[in-house]
Amino acid sequence: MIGLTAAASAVVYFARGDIDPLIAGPVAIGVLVGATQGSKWLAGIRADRLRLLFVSVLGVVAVQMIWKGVG
Amino acid sequence: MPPARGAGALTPPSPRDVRAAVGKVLHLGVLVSAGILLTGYVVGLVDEPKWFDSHAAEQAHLRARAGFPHSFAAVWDGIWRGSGEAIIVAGLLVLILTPVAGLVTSAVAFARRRDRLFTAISTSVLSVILVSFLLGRLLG
Repeated sequence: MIGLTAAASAVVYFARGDIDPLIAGPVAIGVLVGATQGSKWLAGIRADRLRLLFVSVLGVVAVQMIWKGVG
Repeated sequence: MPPARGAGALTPPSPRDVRAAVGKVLHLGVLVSAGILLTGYVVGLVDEPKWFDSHAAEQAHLRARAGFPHSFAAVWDGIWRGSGEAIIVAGLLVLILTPVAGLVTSAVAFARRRDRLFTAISTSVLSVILVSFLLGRLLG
């Protein structure tokens, strides 16, 4: 889930106090679950459905960001 | 963890054993860190629910940068005080150090295979990480 190059820099961020547990914690949990389950499901999923799912997730995120930027 | 379970202590591990051992270390590290992260999150929810229910409280906490535990001693102290934040950071540290543990495992396994080139490569990558960590501490 985390590469060696990322580990080298992540330790520096930690030592400088730049890793916020309240942000990094949920992100890490999401990445762990997503990466393990995603790699399992990837073999059996149809590419067009995956694309549709991905586009809708990106769409929701985009609308959310616009909403926050405007409001 | 010995680099080659199953293989005898005297027979050098095969490339497949090396891969399996590294895979096992990485898998274990990810599982352990996920467990610690979830524990920390639950403890944090119980302990400091205000961070989670108000956007303003979370933002105020984010601005108080000095609040994050950012040394091994602070994390250790925080764990014993039952601070959810410190437990989450401990889980993140396990996650960060997991690939390093995998690297150490492969370095040991290559050394046992008398594979000088790959032992040297893993050891030098390890020392680069160590140097970056020490520099980060010194300059940070």
